[in-house]
Amino acid sequence: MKFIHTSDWQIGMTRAFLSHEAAARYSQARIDSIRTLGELAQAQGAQFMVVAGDVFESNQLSRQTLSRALDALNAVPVPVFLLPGNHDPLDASSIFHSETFRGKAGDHIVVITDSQPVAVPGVANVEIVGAPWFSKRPAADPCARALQTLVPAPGVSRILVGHGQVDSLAPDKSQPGVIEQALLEQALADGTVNYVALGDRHSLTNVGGNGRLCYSGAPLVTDFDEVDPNKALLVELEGGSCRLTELVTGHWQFQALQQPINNRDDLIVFARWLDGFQAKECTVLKVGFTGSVNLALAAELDILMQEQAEVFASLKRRDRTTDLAVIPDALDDSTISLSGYADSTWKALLRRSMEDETATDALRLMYRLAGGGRAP
Amino acid sequence: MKLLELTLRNWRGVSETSIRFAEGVTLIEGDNEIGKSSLVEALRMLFREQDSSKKKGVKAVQPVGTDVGSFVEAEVRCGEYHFIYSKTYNKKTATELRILEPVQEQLVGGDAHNRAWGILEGAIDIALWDALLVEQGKEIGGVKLSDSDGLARALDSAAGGAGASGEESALYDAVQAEYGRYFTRTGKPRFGSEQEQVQEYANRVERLGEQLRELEDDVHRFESISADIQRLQRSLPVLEQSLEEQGVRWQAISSLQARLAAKEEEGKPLRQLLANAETELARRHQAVADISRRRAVLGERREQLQPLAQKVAELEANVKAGAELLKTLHGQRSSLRQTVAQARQDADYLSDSAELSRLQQLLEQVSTRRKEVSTLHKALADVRIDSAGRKAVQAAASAVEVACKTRDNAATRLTIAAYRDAQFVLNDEPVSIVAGEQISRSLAETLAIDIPELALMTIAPTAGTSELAAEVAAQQRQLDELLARYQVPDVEAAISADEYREDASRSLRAARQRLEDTLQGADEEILRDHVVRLRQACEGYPGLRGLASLPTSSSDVANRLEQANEALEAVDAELEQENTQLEQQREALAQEQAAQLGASTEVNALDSVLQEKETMLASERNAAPDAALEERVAAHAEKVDAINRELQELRQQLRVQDPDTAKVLLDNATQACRRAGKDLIDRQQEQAIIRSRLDRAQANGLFEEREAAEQALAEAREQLCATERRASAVQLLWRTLNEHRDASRQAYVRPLQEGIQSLGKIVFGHDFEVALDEDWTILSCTRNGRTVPFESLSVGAREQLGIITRLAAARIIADSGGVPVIIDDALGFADPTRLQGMGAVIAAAGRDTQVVILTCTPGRFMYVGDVGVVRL
Repeated sequence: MKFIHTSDWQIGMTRAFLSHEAAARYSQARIDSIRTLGELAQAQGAQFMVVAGDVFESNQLSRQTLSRALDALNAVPVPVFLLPGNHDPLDASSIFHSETFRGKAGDHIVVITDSQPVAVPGVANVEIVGAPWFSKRPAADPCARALQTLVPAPGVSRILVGHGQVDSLAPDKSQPGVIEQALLEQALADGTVNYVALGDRHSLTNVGGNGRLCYSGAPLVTDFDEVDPNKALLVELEGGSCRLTELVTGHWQFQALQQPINNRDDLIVFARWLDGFQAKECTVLKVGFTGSVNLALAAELDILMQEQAEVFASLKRRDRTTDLAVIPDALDDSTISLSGYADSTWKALLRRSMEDETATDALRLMYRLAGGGRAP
Repeated sequence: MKLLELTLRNWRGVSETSIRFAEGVTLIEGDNEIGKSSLVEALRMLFREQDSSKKKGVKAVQPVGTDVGSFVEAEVRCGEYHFIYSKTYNKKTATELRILEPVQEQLVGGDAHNRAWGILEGAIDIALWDALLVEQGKEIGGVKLSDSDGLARALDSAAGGAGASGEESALYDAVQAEYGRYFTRTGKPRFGSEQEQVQEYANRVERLGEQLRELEDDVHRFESISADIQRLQRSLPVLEQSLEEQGVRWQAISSLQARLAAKEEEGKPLRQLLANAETELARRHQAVADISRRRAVLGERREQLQPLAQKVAELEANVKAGAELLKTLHGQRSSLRQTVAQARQDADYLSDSAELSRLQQLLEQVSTRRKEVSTLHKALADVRIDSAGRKAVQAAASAVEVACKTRDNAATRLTIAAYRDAQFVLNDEPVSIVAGEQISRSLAETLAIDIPELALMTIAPTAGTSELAAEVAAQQRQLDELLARYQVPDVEAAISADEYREDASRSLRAARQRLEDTLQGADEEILRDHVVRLRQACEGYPGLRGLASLPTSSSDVANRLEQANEALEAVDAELEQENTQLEQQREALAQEQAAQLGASTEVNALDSVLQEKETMLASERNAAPDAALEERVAAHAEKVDAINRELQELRQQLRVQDPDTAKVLLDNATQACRRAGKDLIDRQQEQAIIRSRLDRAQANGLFEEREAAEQALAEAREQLCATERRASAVQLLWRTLNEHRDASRQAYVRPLQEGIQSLGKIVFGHDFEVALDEDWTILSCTRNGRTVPFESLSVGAREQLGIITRLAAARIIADSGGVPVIIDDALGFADPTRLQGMGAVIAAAGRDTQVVILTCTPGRFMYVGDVGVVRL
């Protein structure tokens, strides 16, 4: 028996650091990943697919977004089980109750609305047990509740679909809704369930190490700190064995880095590194610069960033981690010639630039207007 | 640049003139219209206008009415160049440039023009040249030097600057342009729309966030309402069960209460009957008591009547006695009044008698007097004459005598002397004459002497004599008439008659006087009437009265009257006193009688009421005796007691059931049920409302909308941040640049200021100072410690300062491509002292720079010391 374990589609998510144009493509990539998953299911011979929560970024999505997602979902050739997570809980405003959803979702799309074991249509001896979220702040561990009344069913493969942080990974274990890992392991051990498909972590994670308790991670990267995103898991349960295969579902990259720049060589290295990126239009970079440069180098860096920003999906300075001192040096003085009051203006700004960043900016501007930094 | 020579031919009114300029000051003198200004015009045109120019100004230089070309030629030293440059305009146009130094060269046409302009532009500051030209007829006030790069450079150099380059202004322009991209001229940011955009997005994010929060609240509310509904649905049956139980209990109590009510209803008429019987008995007792009370009151009242009757009788006796006394007094008073009347009548009688006798005496006297008067009257009646008549008679007699005498004197006197006795008739008058006698007659009339038997002699008087005789006759006649009138025979009689009349009159007057004295103004008739009345009164009185006590004297009468009056007064006083007393008694009587009447009426009324009551009681007793009434009361009381006992029993039963608590419990159960039902409906309704609201919101895609807004906000913010950063950079740069530019300009200003001051002192005194703006215009000048704005200076002072400024500027750049200062007709407003000063200034400037002065009044410039004079 083969199925695809995925989660955290976060349909409808946008990222503020993306420009309008990039944001549109990024949103489209999200829809595309559904189609990719459908194609992979087909290609890998998966019999169904479970989405372990946060299918949607919010319950309040536009009809257009929802319709597009459903359109892609409808194209998936196998049954798809959707679990409401903390972003799209099964509350009064649940998107799964919406008219659009009810009207457009195909029959093979099953929303897990309670913890009753559900048979997978067309697949014998397989049951899905879901632990849906009913509100954004559940009072208790939904998985524990789902397991509470569940008794082992010999001969039936059961997949528990849950959402949330397991206590071994959660930063705050006292939070209600944190999943008690021991209970899951217990259920796996006593055969009540055979695989636990978890969502909420956007990084693919094998919890506990027995290979049956996994976070699939998000199919499309959503943040800079995610490890191994753009993935889904192909799960094969045969007899007593469980085999996991990572599937690639997206090709956007989010990367944050610190770049020291102290001389022209550093700049050249950085420029080459930027140039080395494939699919720049799907790459989001934020760079924190450190070091000190003269006006000429600062101007070159400005130009480089400006030019590359036009190619990358997003290329931004991390103001928070940027500490790049612009220090006008003798080189600057001789690259442009100033006389009279222009000269005294230059010197005055130079003095002021020690403590005033604006003065540095003014110097850079003056440098540029006086013809400095121009290509020879 | 130095002008060496300038030649004009056929230039306006100038047919040909050539001027050689001095190194320093050249003074060109000439009358008006002789072509001084043409020199300036030609010099400017030479460098600026192509020979082919068809400009109006160019055409205008052709002499009027001729068809010749206008020629100008200048020899100029300019920088390293020395050249002769000429042009012919309008006709046979030509341009020629002959460069003498540094390399000889000759050009014509457009090449020559361009080359000449190039040399000029390269060597001198054209803008300054324009600025330094003082043209005729133009206001020579301020001078705009700020466009002059040359001056700027020279001043910069003089100020010890690093030397200005063109790059500065290029940079300045570039910064200005950059500044202009972010700020308006007045310094307002141009990126306001970006700020607004950010604000707009922020608002939008805020608004959407708010909506999302509301939505979330709705979700929570929906959850809690759902929980409520479940709770209510569970508790409703429990409440209903409880309600039913309480209902059953209440039912039992209700039936008991109904029985109690019925029994109470039954007791009501019985109680009524008992009450009626009791009332009747009570009324009987009341009536008996009432009657006995009334009897007592009546007896009391009757007793009170007795003293009242006694008092009335007493008063009546008093009144009666008083009335009798009064009557006696009245009798006394009338008899006294009679006595008084008698006494008065007696007195009257006595006085009347006295009066009567007096009046009678008086009337006798009157009668006597009257007789006297009457006698005299009669005597007087016979006398006809009066004193006037007497006088008339006497006068007439006298007149006769006079007339006779006159006649006699005038008439012929006839005297008859008788020798014997004879008789004769003379005028019918027998005359007897005795011998020896004579008769003398005046012959006043015809005198007829009839001597009997002898002769009749008639002697006729003369005519005159007869008239006199007539007069005598007339007088005589008059006298006779008078005598006849007064009935007196002659004059003597008349006189005596008159005297008699006078005596009689006097006596009459005396008699009348006496009569009047006697009457003393009284009317006699009245007196007589009075006498008649008195006599009648007096005659009857004694008879009437009886003579017995008629008093004899008036004093006696007075005594009697007085006594009578006194007695009367005494009686009157007594009478009055008694009268008052009687009135009081009567009044008291009336009061007592009224009181007696009131009291007796009351007694009567009480008596009649009492009788009525007694009658009524008797009849009532007849109908129902007291004992019957008492029996009826006892019978009814027994029945009522029985009913009360039953009621007591029922109430006890009810108390055991505790209806109050049962009611409270029932009400509470009902209310709890109703409330739960209502709550359930309310909650369901609310749930439905929230549900529909959520459904509606669901389709709105709020989340995505907010995400989009946030993304737009982030983008706009980033952009604004970058813009603001660039803007503050350019702003700082622009400000700093301007500060330094201004500072450096101020530094440039100083040499010019010093130059102006050093020349100005010659004209305006040793303490003269000027303040310059950074564009080198004069702001103000200070003299004798007083600072005056440039605009407020006199026209003359402004003109002088203008020239001084030009000269100072020219001196400053004299070392590097200086230009000549051309002054066309100026200093018209300067007084001789100033002219002297200006002369010295021009001469001083002329040592450093070329100065050309054109004037039609050479006197103005007589003070310029070192000068080459050219006369046109």
